[in-house]
Amino acid sequence: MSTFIATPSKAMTGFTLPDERLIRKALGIRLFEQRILRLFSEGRLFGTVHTCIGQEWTGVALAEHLRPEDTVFSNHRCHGHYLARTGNYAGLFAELMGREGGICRGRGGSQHICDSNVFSNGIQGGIVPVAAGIALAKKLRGGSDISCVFVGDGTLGEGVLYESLNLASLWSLPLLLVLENNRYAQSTSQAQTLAGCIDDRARAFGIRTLHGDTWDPVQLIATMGEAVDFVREARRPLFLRVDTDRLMAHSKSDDDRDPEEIAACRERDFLHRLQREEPGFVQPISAGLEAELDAAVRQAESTPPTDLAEPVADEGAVRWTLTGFEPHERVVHRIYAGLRAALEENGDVLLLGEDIEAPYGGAFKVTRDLSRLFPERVRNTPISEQAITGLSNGLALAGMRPAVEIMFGDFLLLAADQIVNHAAKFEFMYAGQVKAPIVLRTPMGGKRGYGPTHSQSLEKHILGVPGTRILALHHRFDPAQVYQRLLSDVVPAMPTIVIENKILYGEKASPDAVEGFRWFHSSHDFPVSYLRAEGRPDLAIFCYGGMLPDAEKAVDRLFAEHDIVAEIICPLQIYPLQAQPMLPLVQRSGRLLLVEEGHGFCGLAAELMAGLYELDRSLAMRRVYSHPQHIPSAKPLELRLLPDAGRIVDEALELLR
Amino acid sequence: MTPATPIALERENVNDEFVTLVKWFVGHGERVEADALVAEVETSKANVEVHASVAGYLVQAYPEGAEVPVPATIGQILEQPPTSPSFAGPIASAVAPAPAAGVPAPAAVVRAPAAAVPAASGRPAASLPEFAPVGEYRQRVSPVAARMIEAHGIPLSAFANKSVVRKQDVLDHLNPQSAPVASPGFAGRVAPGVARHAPADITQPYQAIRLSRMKQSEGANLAAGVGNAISSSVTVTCFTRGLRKILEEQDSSAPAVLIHEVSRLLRKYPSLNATYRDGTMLQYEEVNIGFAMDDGRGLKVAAFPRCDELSLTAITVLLRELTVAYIEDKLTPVQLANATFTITDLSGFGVSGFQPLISENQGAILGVGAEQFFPESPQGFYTLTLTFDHQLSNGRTAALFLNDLKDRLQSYEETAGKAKAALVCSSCYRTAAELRQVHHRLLLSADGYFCTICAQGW
Ligand SMILES: Cc1ncc(C[n+]2csc(CCOP(=O)(O)OP(=O)(O)O)c2C)c(N)n1
Repeated sequence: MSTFIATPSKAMTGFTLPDERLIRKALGIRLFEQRILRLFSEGRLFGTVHTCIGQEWTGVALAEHLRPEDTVFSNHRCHGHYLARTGNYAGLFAELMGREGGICRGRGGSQHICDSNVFSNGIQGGIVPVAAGIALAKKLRGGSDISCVFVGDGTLGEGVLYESLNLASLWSLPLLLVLENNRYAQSTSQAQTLAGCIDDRARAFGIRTLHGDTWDPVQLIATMGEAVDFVREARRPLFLRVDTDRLMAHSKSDDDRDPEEIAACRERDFLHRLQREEPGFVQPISAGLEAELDAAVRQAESTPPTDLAEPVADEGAVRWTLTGFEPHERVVHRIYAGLRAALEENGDVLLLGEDIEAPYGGAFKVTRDLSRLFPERVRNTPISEQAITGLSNGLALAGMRPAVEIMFGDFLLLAADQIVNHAAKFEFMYAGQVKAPIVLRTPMGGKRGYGPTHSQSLEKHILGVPGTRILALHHRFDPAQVYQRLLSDVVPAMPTIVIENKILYGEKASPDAVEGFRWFHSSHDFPVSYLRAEGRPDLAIFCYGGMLPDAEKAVDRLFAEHDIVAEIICPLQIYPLQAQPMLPLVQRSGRLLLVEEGHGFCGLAAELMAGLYELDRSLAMRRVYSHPQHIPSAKPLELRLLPDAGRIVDEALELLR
Repeated sequence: MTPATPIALERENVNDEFVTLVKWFVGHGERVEADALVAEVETSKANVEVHASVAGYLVQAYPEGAEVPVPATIGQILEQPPTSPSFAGPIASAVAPAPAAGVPAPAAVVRAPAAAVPAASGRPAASLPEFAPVGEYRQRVSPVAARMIEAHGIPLSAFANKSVVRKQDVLDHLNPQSAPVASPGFAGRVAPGVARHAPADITQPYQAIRLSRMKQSEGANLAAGVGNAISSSVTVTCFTRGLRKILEEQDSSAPAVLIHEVSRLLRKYPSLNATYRDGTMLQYEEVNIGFAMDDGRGLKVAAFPRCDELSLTAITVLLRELTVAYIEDKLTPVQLANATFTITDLSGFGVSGFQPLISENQGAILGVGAEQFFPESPQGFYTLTLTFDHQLSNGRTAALFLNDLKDRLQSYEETAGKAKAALVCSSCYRTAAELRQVHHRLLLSADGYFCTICAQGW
C-alpha cells in the first residue's frame, strides 16, 4: 500500500543534480547518523537519538542561504540541521557520547545542542515562541538577520505554535518556520491527529506560505532561498512546508509502520536513487566521508566522559546591616519606580504583558504610564502566557532584558514549560554558552475576594528548579531596588520569577519596625530580612511575601498581650533559599514558627523545616499555612482559611507551650 | 593580625586551679564597649564579673561552662571583627600587648579560607552577625514587665542590653541564679564536660549539672549528719477565687489544676525538679509529678508522667483514673514510679498549713492547705508550702516559684472562659500537642477546631 505518497516519484535521469558539494553534505549527514546507530549497537553511545535519515535536504537547503548571524532553532530531530550548518562531526559525536569534547560538554546530548547559532530543544512546540523572541530582538536591533525554526507536522497539535504564529504576524517578526511534514509523529499517523489543511493554519494568521519537498533537492534549495530572502527583506514571517519521509524509526528500532510503505519511501529518496543509479559517482564520496567520520569518532572518544557535578553555590559569609531606604511610598509605586529606572538605564530592557499599556497600566496598575514614556519597549500582548514567556526567553538569549507581567500568579503554570524546560535549562544544557535572564513578575495570593482561580499562592509548584531564582517581594526591602538589580548586570543573570503579593501593593514600603525591634538585612543580592530584638527571644517566625504584615502584627501582639518576644526572618529570595544564615538566628531561641499563605503540603515551610532540622535536631518547629481547600470568593470564609496574625499568635503560643 | 587586647584572669584564690566560665554577655565577634560587662566567671569564693578594658570586637576562647585554668586568658578584644571561629581554645602568651592608640593595624588580616567550610555539610560555622548596638533601638517594656518593674522599684538601666523587656527578664534580674545560661532551645542539654552520674537507684531520666563551687561547700557543711536533703520551706497564701472560677468553667478538680500549673512551672525552675548527689544536681529531664493520696489505706504517691505536656483535661481524667485505682487497691508499681516532684494535699483534713517532707530522689515538695476564711469575710484563702533542698536551690527561688504559682492560680479569675479559644478540639478539648502524639490533628470547621478523632466518630 503506498497511496499515502502525495507526490509521484521522479526518475533520476532527466532532472538537475545538485552541486557535488551539497550532495557530499547530505550524504555526510546520512552516514553520520548511520554511524551513530552502529555506535549504539556497539554500546559506545547511550541515551536516545532521532535520526533525520530521509530528511537531510531541509537542513542542507536552509544552510545554503543563511548568514552566520542568522539563528536556527531546531527540535529533537536536529543533527542534520546542525551538521548542514557547521560540518562539526567530531563535536556532535562527542556530545552524543556524553564527553567533555561535545559541543555542549555532553550535557545536552542529541536533542539539546547549541553551537554556531544553531539551538535545539526536545520539547515539541516550545521552541517556536523562543525563536520568535530571537526574531523580535533582531527586529528591534535593526539589520537584516533572521530567525528560523523547525517543527514536525505532529507538533501542529501544540497550542503554543498558534500563539506564536499570531504574535509573529501581528508584530511582523523576521521568523522563518520550516515544517518538516513526514506525516508521522512518533508512531501516530497524521490522519489520526490532523484536521483541516496545514498551510491554511499559517494563512489564517496572514502569514505567507511556501511549499517544497526533499525528493527534488534543487527545487527545495531554490524555494528555501525564496523563503529566506522574503523574511530577510520583508521582515515578515513565512511558513514553509517541506514534504519528506522519515526512513528510519522515530528514535531507535521503534517503527511499527508497514514495511512496504517504508520501502516505497526509500524508492523516492534522492540519495537512495543516486546510489542506485550513479554508484560510480557516489562510491568515492562515501569512502572519503567514512574516513572523515572514523577520524571524528576517534577525536570524540579521545576526550574524557563528562563527570563533574555542578558545585552547590557557596552561600558565603553573611554580613547584616541596617540598610534603610527613605521612601514611604506604596509598594505598587516602588515597583513602578524600579521598572522605570531600569528602562531608563538600560535600552535592552523591555516590558511585555497583558493590559500593561497606558492608560490601563496593568491589572494592578503597576506599569501605569510606562508605555507612553517608552513606546516601543512596553507592550501589550495577546492572552498567550506561554508564548510571551517563550518570546522573552528568545529575547533574553539574544541579549535583551525582558520583564513579563503574568496578570495573576494563578496563570503562571500556563508558562511553566517555558520556565522549567526552557529558561531554567538553557544555561546548563548549552554548557554555559548562553544565559536567559528573563524576569516574570506576577501578583499572587488571596484576601482580595477574587475566588478560587485568582487568589492562590502557587509558588511552591515552581520552587526548586535548578537554574531559576524565585523572589517574593515585601515592603521592608525596597521593591524598586529589587527590579533595578534584576534588570542590571550587578546580580548573576538568571531566569527570575518575582512573586508580588496583591495584598502588599497598597502597603507603604519602608524599613519601619515593630517598636522595640529593628530590621536588619543580610548581605545577599536579595537579602534575608531579620526583625531583631536585643535580648533573648522566645521564638522566631519565618515568613515571606504577603504574610509579612500579619507576622509583624503577631509580633506586636505576642509582646503586648502575651509577654513573648518573637523575631521575624523574612527572605526576599525563596529559591535558592539561604537557609544556613538563618540558622544562628533561629538558634537564639531554638524555636521557629514557619508561616506561608499557600497550602502546606510540600511547601516552602516544610522544606525549610526539613533543612533546618538536618542542621540542628534540637530545634522546635511548627507550621502555619492555608487550610487545605480551595479559596472561596466569600470573604469571611476566605479570611478564615488563610493564615493571619491571630493564627500566628495562637500557633506561637502552642509552640511555646 | 589585628591588635588584640587579652581578657586575662588573675588568680583570685590560691586554692583555685580552675574557674568556671559561667556566661558570655557578648557574642563572639560582637562589638563591645570599654568597661562593658563581658563575662561572668565562677570561683570557689564568688562569681566574678569580667569587664572589657578597651572597646573592640570580642573573641571567645572558651564556650560557656568551660573549666578554665588560671591564670588564663578567656578571650581577647580586637580592633576589627574576628574572622576566626569562636572557642579556638587557650590563647597562649602569644597574645600581643595592645598597641598604643593610633598605631595602624598591620595590613595582613588572617582570614579563614572560604573553602574551609564546605557548602551544605553538617552544622555550619555560623558567622556571627554584626547587629547594631542596643542604643539604636527604641526600648519597649511589656505591660506585665512594666508592672513588675514598678512593684520592685528596679531602675530601667538594669535592662540596658535589651530592646524588649518582659516578665522573664525581670525575673532573671531578680534571681540571676535561676536565669538560664543558654537560650531556651538549648536548655535541655548537658553542659559540655559534665559527666553523667547514674546511681543505680534513680530510674527517672535526668541531666547531671555540677553545682557551683559555693553551693558545694555550703552543702557539704549542712549535709553532715542530716541525710541527703537539707530541707527548708516557704509558704504563701492564696485566695481561692481563681481556683473557684476555673472549677466553675471546667469539669476538673483543684488537685488537677495544681498538678497542671506546677508541672508547667517546673520547667522554669529546674532546680526544684532535681535531686542532689555528691556535689551534683541531677536535673530531671521529665516533669513527673507525684500526687500523694492517703485516705486511711496507706500513703501512696501516684505519678503523672510528663504531665507538663498534658492538658488540664487529660490530667483531670488521669487523676480520676488513679484515684479510682487507689480506692480499689489497684495502683500498679508503674503508676507509682518515677515521680520527680510531689504534691501533697491535706486540705481534706482541715489542715491549714504544714511542712511536708521531701521524697527520696527529689528536691522539693508542695503542700496544699485547706480553705480558710477571715471572720466575716466570704473571701476564702489557702496556703501553699514548698519544702525544698537547700543544696539545690535557695529561699529566693522557692519564693519566686510560689509567687509565680500563686499568680497563675489567681489569673484564672481573668482568663477562665477564654480557655476555649485556644487550639483545642471544640468537642473533646484535646490539645493539638496531645493529638499529635496519637497521630491525629485538628481540623478547622465552621464551629472552630475539631480533632480527627471526633471527626471520625461521626
Ligand atoms: C511537548 C512534547 N510532547 C511529547 C514529546 C514526545 N515526542 C518527541 S518527538 C515526538 C513526535 C514529534 O512528531 P513531529 O513533530 O511530527 O516530528 P518528527 O518526529 O516527525 O520529526 C513526540 C510525541 C515531546 N518531546 N515534547
